[in-house]
Amino acid sequence: MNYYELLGIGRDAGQGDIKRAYYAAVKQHSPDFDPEGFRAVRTAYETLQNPKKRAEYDTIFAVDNDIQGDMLRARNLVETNKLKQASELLTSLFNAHPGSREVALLHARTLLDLRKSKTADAIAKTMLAQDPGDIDALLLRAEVSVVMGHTAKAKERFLEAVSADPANRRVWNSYAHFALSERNRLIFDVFNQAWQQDPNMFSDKYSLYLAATAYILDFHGAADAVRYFNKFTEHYIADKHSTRPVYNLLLNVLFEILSNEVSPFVADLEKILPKLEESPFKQDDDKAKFNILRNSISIDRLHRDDEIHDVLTDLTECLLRDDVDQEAKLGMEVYIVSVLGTIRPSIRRLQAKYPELFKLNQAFYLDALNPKKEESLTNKYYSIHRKLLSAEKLSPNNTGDELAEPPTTFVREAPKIGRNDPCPCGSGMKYKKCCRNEA
Amino acid sequence: MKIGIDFGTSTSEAAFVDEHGKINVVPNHAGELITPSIVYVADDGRVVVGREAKEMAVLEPGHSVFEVKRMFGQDTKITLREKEYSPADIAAMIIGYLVDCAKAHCGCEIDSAVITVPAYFTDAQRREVMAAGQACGLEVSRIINEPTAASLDYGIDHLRDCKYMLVYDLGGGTLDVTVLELFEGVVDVKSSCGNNALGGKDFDQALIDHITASIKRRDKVDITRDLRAMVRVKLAAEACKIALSEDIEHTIELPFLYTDKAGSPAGFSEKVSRTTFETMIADKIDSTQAQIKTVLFDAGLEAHDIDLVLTVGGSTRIPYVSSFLLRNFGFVPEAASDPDMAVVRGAAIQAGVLSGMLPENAIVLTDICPYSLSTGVLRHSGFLSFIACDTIIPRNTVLPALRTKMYTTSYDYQSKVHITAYQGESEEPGENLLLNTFALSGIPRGKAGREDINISFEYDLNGILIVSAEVASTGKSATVTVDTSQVGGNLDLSLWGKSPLAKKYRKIVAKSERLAKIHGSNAADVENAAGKFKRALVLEWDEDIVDRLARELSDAIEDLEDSEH
Repeated sequence: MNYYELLGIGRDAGQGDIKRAYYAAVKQHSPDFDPEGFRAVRTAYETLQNPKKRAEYDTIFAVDNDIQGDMLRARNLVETNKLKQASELLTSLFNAHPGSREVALLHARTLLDLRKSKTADAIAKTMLAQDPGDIDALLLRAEVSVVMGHTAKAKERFLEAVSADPANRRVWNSYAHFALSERNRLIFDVFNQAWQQDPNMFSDKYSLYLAATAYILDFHGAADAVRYFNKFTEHYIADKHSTRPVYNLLLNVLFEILSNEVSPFVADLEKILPKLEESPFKQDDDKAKFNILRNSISIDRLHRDDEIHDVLTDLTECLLRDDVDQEAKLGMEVYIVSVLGTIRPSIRRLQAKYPELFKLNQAFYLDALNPKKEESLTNKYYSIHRKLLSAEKLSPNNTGDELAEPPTTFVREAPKIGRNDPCPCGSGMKYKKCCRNEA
Repeated sequence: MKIGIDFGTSTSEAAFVDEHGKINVVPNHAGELITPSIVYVADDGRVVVGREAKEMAVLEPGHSVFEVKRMFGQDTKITLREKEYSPADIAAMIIGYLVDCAKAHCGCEIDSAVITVPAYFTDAQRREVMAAGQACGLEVSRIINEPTAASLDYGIDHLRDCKYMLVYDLGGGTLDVTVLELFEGVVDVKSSCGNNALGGKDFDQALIDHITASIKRRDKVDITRDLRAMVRVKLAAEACKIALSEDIEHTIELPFLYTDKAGSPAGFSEKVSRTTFETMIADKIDSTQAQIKTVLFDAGLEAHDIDLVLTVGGSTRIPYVSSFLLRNFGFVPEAASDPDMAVVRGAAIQAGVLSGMLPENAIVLTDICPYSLSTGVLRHSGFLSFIACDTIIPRNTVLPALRTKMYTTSYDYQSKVHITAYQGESEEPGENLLLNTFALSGIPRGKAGREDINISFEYDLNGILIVSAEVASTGKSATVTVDTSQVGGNLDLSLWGKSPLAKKYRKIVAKSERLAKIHGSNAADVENAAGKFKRALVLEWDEDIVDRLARELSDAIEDLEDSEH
C-alpha cells in the first residue's frame, strides 16, 4: 500500500487535504490502541507533508508501471538500510529491465553502499555508453574511485562531472566532501570554483564551511578564512531550522579563530554576536563565552587604534579579565601617573571614543585628567611605587632589572605512576605507601 | 474503574467519566472538589490530608508538609513525628486520600489511574509519581502532561475546531508552555517547554519576603525563624495574592503576629495595591518569554500562527499574566472554563478513553517525546576526533517512534562495536544520562569505514526504549531493551545479586557494605561508587563498564583504608 492509499487521498492532493486525511486516519489508528498503524500513518504524513520528501517519493511513480511496486519496495528497503535485501531485489529488477535508467542507478548506488565497487563501476560505464553526458553516472564513477581509494582518478572524474554540469549542487557537494577528506589544498580550489559558479552552492552544509574555515586558516591565513566564515554565518542566520549543535560548532569556531588572530574578523564577529545571543539555543553557561568574545573585540580595537597609548590598552585588557591582577594594574597606573603630561590626550580620546571601556577605571582616569589633582596623585602613586619596589627587592626570584622567566608547562619525563601501582623503587609495596609519601 | 488524578503543587483533584460519558470531579470527604496538597501527621500517627491538614499546619507547622511536588527528583527526606518519608511517600498519602474519596463517592473499586505531571518533568520525576500511584495499589496506566490534559478538556467541548493552540499552564509550582494543533477531535502536540521552578508559590514568596522585610525594618524583629508566624504569613500572602486578582488593593491583616523588642505583642497591617504586587512579580512572569520563544521555534511556528492561547492553572488568574500574553500575541488569551479543573478533567477523559467508557476515537491524543535520545559516536571536526552524542530520536518526535541511522566502523580491522544510548540534549556524553550500553561483535574485519552498522531506536508511549544494532552486510544483530523507568531514581539496588556477573564481585561489594556501616558518613565516596557499580549490575550493562566501575570502587575502598592509618 503506498502512502497515498494509506491516507486515502489522490496523487494531486494539496497540503490541506493531506492534513485532513492524516487526522482522519489518526482517529482510526489511535496511538493508544494501534501503535503500529499509527506509526505507518505518521510516516506517510511526514513524507507527503514535506514537499521535498514528497517529490522524492513521487519519482518512484515515474518508473514503468509494472516495476513501480518493486521500485517502491526497493527504495523503502534502501531507506531503512536493509541494503542486502534491497540489493537482491534490485539485481532481479535490473536483469528484467536492463534498459531502465532509474533501476540501474539505484542498483549501482546500493552496490556502492555495499562496497561492491567494481560491479557498480561496470553499471555506471554501461549507463555512460548510452548517454555520455549522464551526470549521475559520472558522479557515481567518481564516488567509486573515492571508495576504492584512487585519489588521483577520483579528482579527474569529479572534474569531468563538474564540467559536464557546472550548476549541479549534488556534484559540488560530493566533490567538496571528497576534497575535505583529502585534507590538502584541493579544498581551497574546490570552494573557489564552486563560488564562482554559484555563491549559494553549499547552502545546507554548515560543516563544510566550518571545516573549510579551519583548513584555510592553516593554509592561507586569516583573510581567506574570513570569506568562508562569512558564508557560513550568513546561512546560519538565514536558516531558521538550524540546531543547537550547529550553534555550538559556530561558537567553537569563533574560539578557534580567536586563538589564531582576531583582527580581520572584528567586523564580522560584531555582526554575528548579537544574532547568536538571540538564538534560542543559548544557554546560561554561554554568557561567559560571549563576554570573552566581546572583550577580545574591544581589546583588538584598542590595539589597532594608534591614538590610544599602548599602556591604556594593556590596562583595559587587565581590567576586562575576570580576575583582575591588582599588582599589574597598580604597576600600569604608576606608569601612567609618571607620564601624565604626554598621556592625557590619549586618555581623553579613550573617554570620547570608548566610553564603556573608560568606565572600567573611571575614578582613576578622571583624577588623571584633572590638572588640580596632579600633585596629590603623583604623591600617592610615588609611595605606591616605593612599596612595589621594596616588594620586588624582597622577592627572591627577582634579580633586579632582569625579568623573571615566564612559567613553562611542566612536562613529565617518565610515564605517570598511579598511586596503586607497584613502586618503581622495587620494594614491592604500592607507590602510595612507599616513595610517594617521601616525595 | 479507571480515574484521572491531577496531583498538583498546591491542590490535587480526581475525576472520572461515568456511564453516560459525563465527566465528574470527585468531592473529597469534606465535600469540596479541590483538596489542598497538604499532609499532616497527628501524634497518634494518623495521616490527615486536605483542608483539615491546612488548618492543623497553622497550629503545628513542624508536623505537616506543603508543596511536596516541588521536592520530586531531589534526594530529600521529610521527617514527620520522627519518621522519615520520601516525597513519593507523601504523594502516595495524597493520592491514596483521593482514591479513598472516589471509592466512597461512586461505591466501586478503583484499580487504575491516569496521573498528570508537568510536561517538563524529567523522566526520574515521572517515575517517582508513578511509584507513588503504585504505592496506593493503583495500576498507573498512563502518565500524561498537564497542558495536554487541559487541551483534551478544551478539545472535547470543541470537537469540530481546527486551530493552533498555545497552552500556557502556570500552576502552583511549575510553568509549562505547549504548542499543539487541534483538528476535529485530534490533539496533536507539536512541542513543549517549561520551567519546573516557577509558579504561584514564587509569587506568594515575593509577598512573604515583603512582609518579613517590612517587619524587620520597622521593629528589627526577624520572624522568619518563627514557624507558626511564618505559616500565618504564608496563608495571608496567598489570600492577598488571590484577592488582588479581583480587587485593586487588599489589606493584609495579621494581628498578634509576633512580640516586639519591648516584649509586647505586635501585629502587621498593610495595604498592598495591585500595582505594587505586579512590580514584585513582573520579572518572573516576563522571564517566561524565553519558554514561549523556544516552544514556538521548536514547533516551527511564529507568534501570529497561533489562533488561541489557553491559560490553565490557578496562577493565570493574575491579571498581569493575561496582559503579558496579550502583549506577546496581540489578542486576549482564553481561560480554561475552570482553570483549576481543566487538568483533572483532561486526565479523566484520557482514563475514559483507555478504559472504554468513552469511544476509542472520541478524542485522540498524539504525544511527543520530551527529550532527545542519542547514541555515542566518534566524530571528526577539522583535525580533531572526539566522542559525541548523535541524536537518533530528536525531542518533540511524535510517539511511538522508530528511527534508524547508519554508522560505520571507526578503525581498521574493528570486529566489535560498543553501542550506547543516552537521554538528553547535549552533544557532550558526560552531560547526558547514560541509559544502556551493549556490544555488537562479529563484524567482518576490514578497513575503517568499510562496514556499516545500523542502529535503531524504538520508543513507545510508556517510555520503553528498544535499541538494536545490525551489521548491514551480514545481517548479524543485537538488541537490548531499556526500560527508562529503571534508569530513573527508583532502582532496587539490592537486586544486584541476580546479575550473572555478581559472583565475581561479591567480595568487593560485601567489603564496601561493611565499611559503609563502620564509617558512616566518612564512607560517602565508597557508598557512591558502590551505588554506581550496583546500578550497572542491575541494569546488566556491558562487562567492560562493570569492570571499570569495579576498579573505581576498589580505589575508593583503598583510599578509605589509607585514611585510617
